[in-house]
Amino acid sequence: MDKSNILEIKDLHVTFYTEDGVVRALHGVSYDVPENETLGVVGESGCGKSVTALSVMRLLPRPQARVEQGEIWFRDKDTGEEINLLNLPEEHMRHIRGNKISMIFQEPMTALNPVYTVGDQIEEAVLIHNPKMSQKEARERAIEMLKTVGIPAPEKRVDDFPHQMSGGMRQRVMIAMALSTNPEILIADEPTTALDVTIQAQILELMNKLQEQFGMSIILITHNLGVVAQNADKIAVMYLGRIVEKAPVREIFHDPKHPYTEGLLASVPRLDKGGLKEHLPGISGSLPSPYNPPPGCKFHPRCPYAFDKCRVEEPPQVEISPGHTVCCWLHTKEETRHE
Amino acid sequence: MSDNNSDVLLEVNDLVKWFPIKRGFFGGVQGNVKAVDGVSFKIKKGEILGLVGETGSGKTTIGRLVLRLIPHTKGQVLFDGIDITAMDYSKFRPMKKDMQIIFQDPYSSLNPRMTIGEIIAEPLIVHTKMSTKEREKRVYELLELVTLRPEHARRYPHEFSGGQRQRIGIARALALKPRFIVADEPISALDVSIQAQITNLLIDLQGRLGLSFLFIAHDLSVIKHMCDSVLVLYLGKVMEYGTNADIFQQSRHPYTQALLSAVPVPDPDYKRDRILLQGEIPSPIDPPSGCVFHTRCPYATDKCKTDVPELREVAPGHLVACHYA
Amino acid sequence: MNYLIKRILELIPTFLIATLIAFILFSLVGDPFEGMRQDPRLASQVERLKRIYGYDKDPVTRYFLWLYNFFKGEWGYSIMAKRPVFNVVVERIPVSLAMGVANTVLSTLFGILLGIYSALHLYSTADYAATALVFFGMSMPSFFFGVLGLFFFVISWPLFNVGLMTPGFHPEMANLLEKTIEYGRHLMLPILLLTVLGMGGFVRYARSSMLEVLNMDYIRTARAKGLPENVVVRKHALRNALIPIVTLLALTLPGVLGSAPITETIFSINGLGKLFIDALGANDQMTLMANLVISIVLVIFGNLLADILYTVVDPRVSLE
Ligand SMILES: Nc1ncnc2c1ncn2[C@@H]1O[C@H](COP(=O)(O)OP(=O)(O)OP(=O)(O)O)[C@@H](O)[C@H]1O
Ligand SMILES: Nc1ncnc2c1ncn2[C@@H]1O[C@H](COP(=O)(O)OP(=O)(O)O)[C@@H](O)[C@H]1O
Ligand SMILES: [Mg+2]
Ligand SMILES: [Mg+2]
Repeated sequence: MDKSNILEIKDLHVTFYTEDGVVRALHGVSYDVPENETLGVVGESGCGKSVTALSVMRLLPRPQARVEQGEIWFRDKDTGEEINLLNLPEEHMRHIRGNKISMIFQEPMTALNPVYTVGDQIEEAVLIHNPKMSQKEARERAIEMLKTVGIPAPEKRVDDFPHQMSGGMRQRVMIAMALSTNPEILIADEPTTALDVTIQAQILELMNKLQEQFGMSIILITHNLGVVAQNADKIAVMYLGRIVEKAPVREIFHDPKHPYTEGLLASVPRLDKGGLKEHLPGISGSLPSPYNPPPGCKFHPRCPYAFDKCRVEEPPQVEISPGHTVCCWLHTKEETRHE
Repeated sequence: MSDNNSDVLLEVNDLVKWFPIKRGFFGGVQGNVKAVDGVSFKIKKGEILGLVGETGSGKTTIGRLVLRLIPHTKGQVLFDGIDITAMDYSKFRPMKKDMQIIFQDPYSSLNPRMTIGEIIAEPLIVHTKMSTKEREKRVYELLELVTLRPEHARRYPHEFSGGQRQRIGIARALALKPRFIVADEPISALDVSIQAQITNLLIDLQGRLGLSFLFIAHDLSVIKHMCDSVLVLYLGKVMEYGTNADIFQQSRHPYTQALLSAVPVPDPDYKRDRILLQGEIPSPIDPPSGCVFHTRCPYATDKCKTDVPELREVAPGHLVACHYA
Repeated sequence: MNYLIKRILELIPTFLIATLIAFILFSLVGDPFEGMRQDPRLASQVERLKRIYGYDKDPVTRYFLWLYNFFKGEWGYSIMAKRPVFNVVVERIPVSLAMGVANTVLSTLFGILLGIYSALHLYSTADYAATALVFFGMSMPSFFFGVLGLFFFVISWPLFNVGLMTPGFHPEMANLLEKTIEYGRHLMLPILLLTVLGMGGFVRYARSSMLEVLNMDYIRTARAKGLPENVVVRKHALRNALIPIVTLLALTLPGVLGSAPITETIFSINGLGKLFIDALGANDQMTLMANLVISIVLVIFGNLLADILYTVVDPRVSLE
C-alpha cells in the first residue's frame, strides 16, 4: 500500500446472479482513498457506486452478489497492519465495520429503525465496539455526538423516535451514529440526494467540519457534480461498473479527459455561467442495459469521438499526468491505438 | 409584469389553499395546513414561469390548483381572462384540453397495462372526435415530436428507460395541442445526462409550439437555465417574484440569496459568500408570526417578528416581500 | 387516554348497528314461534312467548326489547332445546373456549415461528416445507381433512376419542386433572387439525412480513454498525416484523370462541359451533341470534385490541 492511502481497492470484480440474468456490476474497479482527504465518486445510477461501497463494508446482498476477483486493502492505524478486507473472517470484519469504517446512506427517512429511539440506536453502535463502556457512558456519548452534529437540545432529542425528526435531522443522526466510534473512513453514499439544497448545504458543511475535527477520510458518493466539486480532493468517475477517469478535483473540472466526464459536465445547467434556454450539449443516448453491455469501450455507443477500435476492444487505464488516469483510446499512445 | 393584458395567458390572484386537519372518526377540524397562502402571478403567452422553494412550500399544490385538479379555498385563477375557479365544472371541462400536466415520476404516471400508443391516444379519444386513422397519425406525429420512433407505439411502459418514459409523458401532455403546461419537477427523478436531454426537449418544444409553462423545480440551476420569470415560495407565500435576471443577478430577498448560495456549483474554484440557513422550514400548520421567514433569516429584526412584510415592487416587475429589501 | 375513551365509546354505535342488521335479517325469515304450534305440548305457550319477546309489537320496539333483555341475561327461548337460550349457550362455552384457545395459541405460535424461520432460511428445505404447509392448510377444506382424521385416528387406529363425554364419565364428580385428561383425549385431534389448517395463514404472513423487513434500509444500517447477524435479526428485524402480526393476532380473537362449526360437528363436540349448525337446522332463531351476537362482540373487541396493541408495539402510532 502507498503510505499516503488508508484504503486501496484493486481490480474489484463483482457479479450479481439474478433471475433475470447475470450482471457484472463491477468490472475491475480500482481506487485509492488518501488519508484525511475526501474522495468523490461520481456517475449515473447503476454504474456501481453503491456496490463498490458495500464491497468495502462486506455488506453485499447475499446470495446474489459474488466478489469474483480483487483486493481491498485497509491500513489499521492502531496496529499499523495492512489487511485485505476481502480475506478477513466475518468475526474480525465486524470489528472494522461500523468501528473503523462507517457508512451512511441516501434515504434518511428509512435508514433508522422506527421502533427504537435515536439514542438507543447510537448507544448500540457505541457499545458494540466498546464492550467495557457502561450504558450510562454510552448515553452520554450519544448526547455528545448529537450535539456535535448540531441537533438542538440533544439531552431531549436523544429520546426521540426517528419519526419525530425531519429528514435533515435524521441524516444528522446517521452521521452522529457513524462517527460515534471515531472511524478512520466514512463512506457517505448519496448522503444529501433526498434533501433540500439548504439542508444539503448544512450537511456537507457539517461533514467538512467533522472531517477536520476527527481527522478521517471520506468517500463521498454522489451523482451531483456540484457536490463533489466543492467537497472532494480527488474524484473517481464511474461508468457501467468501471472507473473511467480518476484525477485531483481541479483537473477533473478544468481539464476532463474522458468523453464521459466531459459529457457529464456539459449536461448540467450552471448558476455561474450559461445563457437562458441555451442548448445543453450533454450526452446522447441512454445507459445500456447492465444485462447486455456493448462490446469494446462501454461508452462508445454514446461517445461523439468513437472510432473502430473503441467498438471492439476495451481501453486500458493510462496515467496521463501524476494522479490523473483515464481509460480511453483517445489518450493511449498512437501505436497502441492502431495496432 | 405591467405589460399589455392581452398577452397574459394565466393570471392567479391571491390564491389560497388550506387543507383541514381532521382527527379521529368523529373528530372535528383541528387546524389547517396553510399550503398556499395568498399567491399571485401572471404567465404570458410563450413564457416559462419557474416556481422554486423548499419541500412543502406549496409548489405542487399551486400546480394542481391552477389546473383545478383540487378545489381552492380562496382567490382566482384566470385562464384567458376567464375565472376557471368560479365556473361550473361542466363548462370548465372543454377548457381542460388547453391545460396539461407533466409529472415528476415517469415510473408511476403511466398505466403499465396500456401500450404507448394507447396512452398517448387516450386524451384524443376523450376530448376529440378524431377517427381511428387520424388518431394514429397524431400519435406518430407526437412520438416524432419527442424523438421516439413510430414502432414504440406498440410497446409497454416497462420496456422504456426513465428518460423515454418522461418523453412519453410529454407526448401525452401535448396530444391535445394545449397552450399551457404545468411541469412538476419533470426531470428530478432522472439521471444527469438524461436531465439534459429532457431539458433541451422541453425548451425546444416550448419555442416551436409557443407554449406557456408553469415549471416547478427545486434545482435553481435548472430554473435559471429555463425560466423567463421566477417565483420564490416559502411556506405558501411569495418571497420574491421577478424576471430571470432579477432573481439570479440582483435578488433582494435573503431567502432567495440563501437558496442561491446553497446551490452546489460544479467548479472547485467558484467562490461566493455563503449564507448558511440555520434550522429547517417550519410547520405550515402554525407558521411563524410576522415575516414567515424570520425564524431562519440571518438579518431578522424585531419588526420582522411582528409585521408581515407586503410584496413590494422594488423595480419594475420585481417584487420582494421583505421589510429591508 | 382521551382517545381511548372515545375509541371505546365508538364501539357502542358499531355494536348497535351490527346487532340491528342481524336482527332485521332474522325478522325477514319470519316468526320463530309459529313452528311450535305443531307440538301440542308447546302450543299453549306460543302466545305467551310471543308477548314476552315482543312479537306482537312493531320490529323497532321488538329490537329495543331484545336489547334490554339481552343485557339482563335473558337471551330468549330455544325452541330446539326448549330451555332459555342463555343456559344453552353458556353450557357450550367451556369446551369451545378450550378448543379455541388451544388452537389459536398453537397455530399462531408455531405459524409465526415457522414463518420467521423460513424467511431467515430462504429456499432451504424447511422453507419449502413451510410453503407446502401453507398451501395445504389454505386449500384443504376442513370437513375433508376432518373426516380423513376421523377415519385414520379414531376408526382405523383409535388414538383419540370423539364426542363428549365418555360414557360413564361424570364431570360433576371428576377433579380438575381428570377433567383435563378427559377433555384432552377428545379435543386433541380436532385441535391438531385446526392448528395445522390455521397455521398456514400465519406462516405465510410472518414469512412475508419478515422478508419485507429484512430488505429495509434500517437493517442495512444495523449491519453497517457492525452488529452480529443474530442481533440484527433478533433486535432489529423481529420487532418490526411482529408489528403487523400482532394486529392480526388480535383480529383472531373471535376464533377463540367457536369459529369451527364444521370441525365441531364432524367430531361431535358440543360447542358453540355445533350449536350454531344445529340451531340453523332447527330454525332456532333466538339461539342463532345469541351465537351471532357473541361473534359480533368478539370481533368488535378484537378490533379495539388490535388498535391498542398497535400503539404498544409501534411508537409511530399513538393514542393521541
Ligand atoms: N392532500 C393534502 N392534505 C393535507 N396537506 C397537504 C395535502 N397536500 C399537500 N399538503 C401540505 O401542503 C403543503 C405544501 O405541499 P406541496 O406538495 O404543494 O409542496 P411542494 O412545494 O410541492 O413540496 P415538494 O418539493 O416536496 O414537492 C405541505 O405542508 C403538505 O404537507
Ligand atoms: N441487489 C441487486 N441485485 C441485482 N443487481 C444489483 C443489485 N444491486 C445492484 N445491482 C446492479 O449492480 C449495478 C451497480 O449498482 P449500484 O452500485 O447500486 O449503482 P449506483 O452507482 O447507482 O449506486 C447495477 O447494474 C445494478 O443493477
Ligand atoms: Mg447507489
Ligand atoms: Mg411537489
